[in-house]
Amino acid sequence: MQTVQRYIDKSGSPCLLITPRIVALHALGWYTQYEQYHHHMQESISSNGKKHLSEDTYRSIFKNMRSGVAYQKIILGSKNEPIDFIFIEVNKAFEKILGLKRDDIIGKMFSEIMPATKESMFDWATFYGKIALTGKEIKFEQFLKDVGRWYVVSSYSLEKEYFITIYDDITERKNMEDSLRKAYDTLKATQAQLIQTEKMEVVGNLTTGIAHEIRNPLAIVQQSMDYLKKKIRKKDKDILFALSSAENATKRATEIVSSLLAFSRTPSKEISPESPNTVVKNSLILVRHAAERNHVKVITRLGKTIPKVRIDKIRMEQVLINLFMNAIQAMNKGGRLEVTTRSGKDQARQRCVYIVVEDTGPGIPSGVINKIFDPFFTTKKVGEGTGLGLYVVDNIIKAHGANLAIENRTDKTGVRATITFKA
Amino acid sequence: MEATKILMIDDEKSFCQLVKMNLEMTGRFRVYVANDGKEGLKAVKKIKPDLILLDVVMPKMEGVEVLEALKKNERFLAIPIIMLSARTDDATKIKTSSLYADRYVTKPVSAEALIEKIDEILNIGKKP
Repeated sequence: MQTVQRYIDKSGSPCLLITPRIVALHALGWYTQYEQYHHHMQESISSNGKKHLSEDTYRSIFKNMRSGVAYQKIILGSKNEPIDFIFIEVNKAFEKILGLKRDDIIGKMFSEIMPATKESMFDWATFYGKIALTGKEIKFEQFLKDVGRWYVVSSYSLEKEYFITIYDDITERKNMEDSLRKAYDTLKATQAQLIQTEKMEVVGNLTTGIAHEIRNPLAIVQQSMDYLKKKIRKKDKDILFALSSAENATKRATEIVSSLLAFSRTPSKEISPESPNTVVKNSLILVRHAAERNHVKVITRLGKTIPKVRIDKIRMEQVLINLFMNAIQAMNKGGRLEVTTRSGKDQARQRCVYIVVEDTGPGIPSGVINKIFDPFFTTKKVGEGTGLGLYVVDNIIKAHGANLAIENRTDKTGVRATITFKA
Repeated sequence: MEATKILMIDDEKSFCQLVKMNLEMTGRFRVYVANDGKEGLKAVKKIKPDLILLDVVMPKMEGVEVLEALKKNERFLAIPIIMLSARTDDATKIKTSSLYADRYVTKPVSAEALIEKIDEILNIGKKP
């Protein structure tokens, strides 16, 4: 509750004792402070007892407001359209925002003070013109590059063609919001990675159990066939065909189980900072013979200052070998396997490391490019591929918090696989 | 030539029977079977095998425990042991290897590949 007492001080000046103290008139409200405030009344008290603030007091309040305030008049063109505006009065805080002295602002056109904005896309004259002509209030946030600060700008009109703009500095709040948003994004990413790891662990345990249960009966089938092969009459071709078909099917089933196991292993426990170039080199050694057999020339462009990335080396080699083998198998009549490592920044300006695997094969048919990561999807002949290769690869990449993009090259024929790691 | 005595410790009875049939068909092996770890340890004492085929996941006593018990016993520590299991995880492989299992073979395995492994171990130390 505010109380006001009037009294005359020793020098004979009329005074107000206000409790609590009103510190400053602020654009967004009154700021109060709980202490007594003796205010020398420079204004007169009229005969009916009402006080009238002097113009000096008003001026002083306006001049010293923490918010930047400007009083402006819109300039109309020949068709009564807003073409510019002129500054009539500004306060100290506004001078600071513009970085100009009051005398260099008052009586000047906006286009004179800010000539750069004339070329910019935004038409401030029309924008403020609406406020000055319609009396419609507006409030928005604006970043002023020159001072490097954020403001909430409120603008309204008290008289046609005139308008007031009030600038309140919200840079601290913006910075806080920004760091909060960044912390939230990091938290979200970490949470997503945790969920992924947890999911992988659940799937991993489940798969290990299932794999064990499947391998045991497969072992019986295998041993049964081995026994029968020895015991049956060798001349019966149909029986031999049936047995070898069953044997091939057992082999395929075993491969599928192995691939599922490879996918389900979580990498989190063996993650350490590794050089992407070393992982690429190690993986290439293992596909050298396959490349030679298909007359595929291997070209490497390994960046010299690639930072280390936190990966499970063994799993990442598995990923690269899979990508290399897909490329080599796609070039059965020869071609080039190109492997590039480089570092750079992504769209969010975050530092990244890229491993790019390219081939000069026929590319992926457009109808199937959306299915390549689906489990059990394969374009290879029955028995040649399990359809789990890229599914496993994609899951390993995701478990690393990395990204894999596979696309047809537009510059020439072939496929480009890009792995992106956050550095 | 006397047949090589092989003890197979595995809870999958039909698998044991089939491996026994395949190995004995060659005329070079005599295969004995035990269906759990405890029974397996008793059979080792009784049969004194030349080689053991040992499963990992078994009721009553796990293969890793059987392996440990055998390798700690001076009378049996020289018997070669091939782990024959459907478990493919690195942890089990590393554990059995650190307990001095001679080989780790994952199921399913062909009779031919299994005999190859057995011969490989039995020929170690023998003159060419």
